[in-house]
Amino acid sequence: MLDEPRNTQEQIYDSGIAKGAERLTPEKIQRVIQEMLAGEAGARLKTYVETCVHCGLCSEACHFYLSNDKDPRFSPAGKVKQTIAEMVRRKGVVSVDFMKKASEIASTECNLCKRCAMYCPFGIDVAFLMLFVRRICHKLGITPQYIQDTAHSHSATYNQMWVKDDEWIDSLQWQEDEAREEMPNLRIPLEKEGADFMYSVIGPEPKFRAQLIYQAAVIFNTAGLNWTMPATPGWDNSDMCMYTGDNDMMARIKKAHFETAMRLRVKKIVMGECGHAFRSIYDMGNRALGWRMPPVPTVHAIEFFYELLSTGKITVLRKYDKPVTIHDPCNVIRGRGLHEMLRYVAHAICEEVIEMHPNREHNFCCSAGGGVINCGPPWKMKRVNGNKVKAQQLFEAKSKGAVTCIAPCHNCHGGLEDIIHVNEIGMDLKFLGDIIYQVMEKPEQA
Amino acid sequence: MFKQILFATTGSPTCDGAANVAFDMAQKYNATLKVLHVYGFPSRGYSPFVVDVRTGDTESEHSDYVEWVREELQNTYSKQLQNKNPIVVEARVGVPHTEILRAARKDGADLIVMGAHTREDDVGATRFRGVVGSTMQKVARKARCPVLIVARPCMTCFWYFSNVIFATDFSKAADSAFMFAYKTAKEIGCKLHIFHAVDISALQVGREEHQTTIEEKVAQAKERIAKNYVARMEDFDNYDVAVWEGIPYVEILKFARERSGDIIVMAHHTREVDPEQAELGSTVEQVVLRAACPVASVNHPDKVAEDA
Repeated sequence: MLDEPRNTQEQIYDSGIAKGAERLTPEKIQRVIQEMLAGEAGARLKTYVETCVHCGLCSEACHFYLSNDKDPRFSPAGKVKQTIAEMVRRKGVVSVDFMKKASEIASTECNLCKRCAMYCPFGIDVAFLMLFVRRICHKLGITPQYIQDTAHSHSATYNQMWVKDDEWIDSLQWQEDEAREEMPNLRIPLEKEGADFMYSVIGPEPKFRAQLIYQAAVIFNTAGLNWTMPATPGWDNSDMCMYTGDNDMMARIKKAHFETAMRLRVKKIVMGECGHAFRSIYDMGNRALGWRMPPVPTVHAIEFFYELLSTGKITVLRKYDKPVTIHDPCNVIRGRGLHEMLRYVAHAICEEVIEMHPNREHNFCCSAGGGVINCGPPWKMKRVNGNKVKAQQLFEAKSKGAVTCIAPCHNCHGGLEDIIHVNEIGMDLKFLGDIIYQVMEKPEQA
Repeated sequence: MFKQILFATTGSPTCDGAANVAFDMAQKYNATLKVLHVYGFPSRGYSPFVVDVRTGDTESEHSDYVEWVREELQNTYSKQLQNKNPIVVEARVGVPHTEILRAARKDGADLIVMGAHTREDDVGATRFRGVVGSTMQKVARKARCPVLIVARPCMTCFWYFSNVIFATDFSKAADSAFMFAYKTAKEIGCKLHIFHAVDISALQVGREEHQTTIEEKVAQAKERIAKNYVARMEDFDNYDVAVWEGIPYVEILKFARERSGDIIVMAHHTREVDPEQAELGSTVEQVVLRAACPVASVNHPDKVAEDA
């Protein structure tokens, strides 16, 4: 059964996987897998693989399974069975073709959203298992090309977008210039030692979405906060190496980020609206460095906006008048439990909030944030079609009147935008910051 | 008058009208001209690969490819590139309006020249808002220097213009537009027409205004023009003042046609809702789309103040 074609898109060509596989030999595969199983895998992997009783409770949790006509090969347990379980069972004696398929499954059929882990009676963390497969693929050099290329940018520049050092500083100064038009005394303080917090963003913000930095600056200045941004590498909190299984680079990137905050002697790091970066700083990167919790206290934008609104540091002039729905990003909701704060913020800034169902920690993933969207255009339709349940959820929210969808995460924006577009749902996507900037009370212009 | 001009182009025939104006002006004023083409849009997930706006193919931001795009541009404008003034051709990746504004800031451009439509195959539908590049809108609103939008081939050279139309809504931004219009008219030695349209579009939804109220508003507008603008012109008397009433963009267009305007200078009407969200688009957008002559949008004092 495992040899039958999974679907018509099975033939998708990815040069990273294909070219990498040409260089592989069964001996190398066996050696790498055995090393990994004997070393990093430890008891955790053994326990997970041996504990699973194939009860199938995880299946209904997975949007890939639900969206692919409940094909068992897309169920979390099925994906484990086709990849790591088989590698363990055969002690690494698997073919090159097997590994190509394993790379595809781990990188493009699982978003590491951990929804299934909530439904597993034993708490088996399938995301850990799929990441372990990605790590083996990384060691074998068969990672999908697009995400590998982004990981290269991290390795070379410590940011996701090949942003040069002067380009970064210039983008901040430029946004300061622009925002001073609106708030003449506005500052985007650079390298201010001892500030209350360091604001960190992801690479695409200075590169393509400078407006988001502008908005954050207006919000922070209105609230009268003592903040700073770094002028050195280490400013970018994003991390694609985490998703390719390049754990060494993941650790280096996070080290640079934490050390930048420590050098600036800030009390905490405030992150922009990005989910995977939060996972990297709060969960995976810090642990790879040996820190159970981040060495510098770190809060996500949701938490920070909650603080600003609940303490009255920013006030709402007139609430956003279009009905909104909320998409709960897995990395900050299942990963950190910020769902009630997200609702507090949404209700504080919007007239009407229409919930999607299921929601909060039970929400379906956007199908992008686990690195799947970063595998690029070759995998786009597989990704979008693998999330028909999300389209259904969005459509239901729309039919109840929701016009705008709030998604406080960059990757969720990317994933949802494709889902909305392909399924012709016709919904606006916004960050919390977009709406806060629009509805907040700002100082009178001089 | 101009030292650094930025010509933002799609590299397609849609921008030919704008290209002629940009290259001619740069040559005439011996300005450095930067020809900027944003050739690729970033992909979802922000990988280093981009979608080429012209071919629709996925390309990398590799230096060879950028060089190839640059060569294509040089072929497109090969005739104009023989001009004697310094010309720089640049191709880059990004969201077009962001990159145009970034480049203008970096070079300290005194003027941005651009076309109004983004895609050649959309020509048949150019009058609908959906196809007007919002790039133009965003650039026009935010740029620190005047933005000259050339939607149709411009038959007269800038320095032979004989009628500059300045349309005002009395906003702060309009002061900057006035400075540019005034300087241009003075420099070229042509006539400056100062114009305001009293907005009575509320009539359409049934809010009737008495004729005397409208006439009072017209008289007030004339006073404000005298105070705000006429008083600021030193030894320059080649101007006239007119105030009409109606839907502002329609009146501006009618006025420009009647006075044979060679260029319309205006600011984004600031009292309007965000032009990106307005259903019919802003007054500037409507004027740009429908005017026979180029339109200059000026919203900031940086490059047009008296001492600039």
